[in-house]
Amino acid sequence: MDKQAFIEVQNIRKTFQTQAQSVEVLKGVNLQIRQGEFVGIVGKSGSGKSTLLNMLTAIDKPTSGQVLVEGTCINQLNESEAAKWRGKNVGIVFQFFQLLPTLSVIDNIMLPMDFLNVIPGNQRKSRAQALLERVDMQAHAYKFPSALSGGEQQRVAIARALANDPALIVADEPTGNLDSETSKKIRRIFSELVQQGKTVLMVTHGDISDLNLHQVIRIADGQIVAHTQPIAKN
Amino acid sequence: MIQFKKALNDLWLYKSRSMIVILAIVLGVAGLGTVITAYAILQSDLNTNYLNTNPASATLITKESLSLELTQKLAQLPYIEAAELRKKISGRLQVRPNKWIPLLLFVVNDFQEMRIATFKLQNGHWPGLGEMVIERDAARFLRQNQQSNLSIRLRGGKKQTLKVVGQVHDPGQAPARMEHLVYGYISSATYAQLSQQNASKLNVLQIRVAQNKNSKTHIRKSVSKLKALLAQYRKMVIYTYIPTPNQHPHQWQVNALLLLIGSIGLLAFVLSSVLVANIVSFLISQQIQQIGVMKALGASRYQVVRLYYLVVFILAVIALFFAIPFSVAAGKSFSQFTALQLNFDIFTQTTPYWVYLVLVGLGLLFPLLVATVPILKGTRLTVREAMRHYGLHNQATKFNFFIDQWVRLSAITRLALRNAFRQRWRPILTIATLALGFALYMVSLNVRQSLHYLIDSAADSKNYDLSYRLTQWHDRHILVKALKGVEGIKKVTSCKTTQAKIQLANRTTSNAIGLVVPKAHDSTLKLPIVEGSWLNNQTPNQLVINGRVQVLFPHLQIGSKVKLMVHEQIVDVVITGIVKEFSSETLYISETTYNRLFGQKELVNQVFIALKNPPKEPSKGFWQWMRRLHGNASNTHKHTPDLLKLNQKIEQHWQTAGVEVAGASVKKAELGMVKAHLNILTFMVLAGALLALVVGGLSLVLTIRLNIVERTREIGVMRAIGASVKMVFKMLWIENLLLGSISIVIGALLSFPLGMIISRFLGNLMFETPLDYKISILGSFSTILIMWVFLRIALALPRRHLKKVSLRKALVWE
Repeated sequence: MDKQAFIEVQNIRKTFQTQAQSVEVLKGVNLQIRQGEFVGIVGKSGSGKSTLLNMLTAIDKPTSGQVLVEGTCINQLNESEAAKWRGKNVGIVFQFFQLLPTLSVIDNIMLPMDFLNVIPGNQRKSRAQALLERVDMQAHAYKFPSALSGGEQQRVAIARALANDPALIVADEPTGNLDSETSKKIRRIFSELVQQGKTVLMVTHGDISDLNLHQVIRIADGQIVAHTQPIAKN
Repeated sequence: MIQFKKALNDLWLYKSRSMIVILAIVLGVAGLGTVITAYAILQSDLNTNYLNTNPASATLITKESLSLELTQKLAQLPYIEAAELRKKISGRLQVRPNKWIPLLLFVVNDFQEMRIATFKLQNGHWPGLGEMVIERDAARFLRQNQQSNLSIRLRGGKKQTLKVVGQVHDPGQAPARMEHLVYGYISSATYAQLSQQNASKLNVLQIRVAQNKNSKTHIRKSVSKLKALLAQYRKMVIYTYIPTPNQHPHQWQVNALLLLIGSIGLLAFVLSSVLVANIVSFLISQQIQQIGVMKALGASRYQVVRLYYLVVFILAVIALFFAIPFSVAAGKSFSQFTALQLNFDIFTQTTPYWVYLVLVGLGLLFPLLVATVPILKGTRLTVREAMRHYGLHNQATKFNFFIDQWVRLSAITRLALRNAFRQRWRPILTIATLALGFALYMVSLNVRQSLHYLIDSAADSKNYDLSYRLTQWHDRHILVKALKGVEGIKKVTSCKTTQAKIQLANRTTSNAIGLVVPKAHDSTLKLPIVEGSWLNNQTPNQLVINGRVQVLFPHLQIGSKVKLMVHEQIVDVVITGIVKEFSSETLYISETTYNRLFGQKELVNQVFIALKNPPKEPSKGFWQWMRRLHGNASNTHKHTPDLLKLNQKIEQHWQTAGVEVAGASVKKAELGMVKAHLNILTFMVLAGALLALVVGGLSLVLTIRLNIVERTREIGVMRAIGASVKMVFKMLWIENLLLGSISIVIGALLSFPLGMIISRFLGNLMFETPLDYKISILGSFSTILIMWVFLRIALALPRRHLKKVSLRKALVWE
């Protein structure tokens, strides 16, 4: 393993069994990501990019091969260990925001802290407020998600992803459901996170030209078809 | 903390669903809690009432009167704790100018010094000469005020007046209303005056044994020793009664009632638990994606499980705030009601703490327990599975294949049939809950029908309308002649009645049992035969017993040889028949056998009269029924004017002929009263069944609502492609009608074995014979009507939801 590698994916395959047939979604994928990189995973719908992301976040396990994150083989963790690992090391941002509708904005951010218990209880609220400030949402702290626009919800989701200060941020088409102006703002936040030392993996099927990506991984039919390192434009 | 907040917010967001869960828990816990509370109170208080009277271990009646000195000597015996002398005399009490009812007078030597079978003065004062106090239940029965004069007539005596000066509570006696007689208490001086003697002759000896007070065997041995001792004093014991030691005579009735409604309460509790499981299952299925998100954010399965347990726990705690006070209040009311029926007092003011513990335990643990399966199932999904969860889906099943390929139905009907069984467990749980509710409802009405059938068939087996017990034996021809000229009489028959004792293996004898000698070749008594055959006047020494005798002496079977002691003479008889009868223990021997042994061929002491226009049963109206349930049974001895006139005429004719009546009864009125008492039981069963039915109905309402809310988008798509709201509702109506109909069919099928078990249990418990299980037509039709009402209500609620959600919103519904 490369000493520099923060994430190393070794020949992973993933097959799904349906009632009618078995479908191989990932067909021997290998890649390495260094700490602090901004990586774009690009591909069409059904290409396998979300499945790959699930492998990198221990949401799903490969049928074969292994995924190492900071030397930890995450596909060997059981469900409980994986949840704990994910809560501590990964912040996930979903396409449809997935804020819990019955919790206020600030409570949504404090929820992962509650689950992990890494941040001391008396610091959680101030940390949540600081995170909201970071995404410019401090004025909406006590609103419920239904009162926010899509872009605002996604900013809250990013703040939530940072709740336990993870080293890795994974975003699954975070701008797929937003207008172009809002998308730009969200992408800018991710770029800022990279500048602050976070490793960011972003799945997208849209334009990536405005992103300062260290790597672009193109996936088609479960395979990496192009792996470019455009070198960040900073 | 945040998790707690989420739990609370979830509950608040889905208020209607939370309220249904709370209601289901309240109903389940309240049903069972009422029974538990009542059990705690009744079990302790009924016995406390009885034991407070210091009940007699045995009652001995001697042929000769006993002196106070002798009684005191007996009380000094080492195996006797106390002995007291009393007298029990029967007579009649006039309640209207032409209406007399049975009276049982207890003569007490010294009201201030009672030690055995005591009773308490409730109001007024202890009776002096020419005065009496009456039992309070009899006072309710008579609507008798204090300080009034009542006419009485003792057996063989003339009409006399006693002044009522107070009421007593005597928990040792069976309730007067149930026995349909009045208990009165007089002093020995009053008794001497009534019997026109210089001094009262008391011959009822009540004793309490000194040791082993709960052992009937020990009591029997002590009584034998006492009898031998009395014989030395030339006092012959002619009757001995040993009750079940330290147990109220109606304890069995309370136990039966509690067991029965307890079982139904338990079933309602189980049903409500199923309902809770169903709702939690829905809650989880709606939040599957949220579960996925929480897991993705780092929540362990344990944390998610804990969160949903917390939701159920909060609901259960809220439910308990309502259920516990309701259970305790209802349990106390039920105890009060039972106490009123059985004439005892409730002493328990504070509900025992263990009742609260049990209720809290049940109310908290059961919802958590039943929620375990849906919670574990819902949280078992991986993050990926949870995030990809899109609610209801359809699978290719044999059922779908069948309705697609083989049944010619419209598309809407086919869709409705598929939808009904689209999910596996929800329709099964709904049908199970509803079917059980329907089954219990049908069972309660069928059991009531069966009880009434038993009483009606008992009435049919006795072909007379009026019955007169005479104080003396009379020639039957004179009796028939005496009634000549009384209009309205169709037939007069008569029989001999006396008492007999069964000689037991250890040469002791049983308590006295009623012995009836029906007239030969007469069909007035045509009792249903359970085993063997009825009396045959050609074969001598036959004995027919009723079911109650067999319960008392289980070794007695058809062919058993029995030694009967009748009129102090041993008679060898063989049991040839066992009859089903709704009365106390009774033996029957043929007139041929009796006459051969004792002569007195034409002498009888009981007359049966069949009328040309038999009286009708008292009104069965609902309020009448409720009044009787609440103890206002005054109408049970209120007969029609025609019947009163006829009775007056018959009594006048008896008087003219010198025939004295010990007791008179109207068969229909007596049976009506019995039905009223049984209605207490069926009322309780019905209340429990209605509870189960409500829970079943809630389950249906909830399932329909959940199904429709879950399918909002799908229904929106249907509407978008041209389905009218009417079509959508036709589909919903068909699928839920199918669920309801299946529930009714299963409920009806289930009600047979369930009803038979309950009928057997009740019949054996109350009448020592299983009831013939009868189907109530009212029950069957009303079940269908109830299901119809449930469906209307269940579909009315989601109709509002669908109308509220616009097509645009429906198409993006999640």
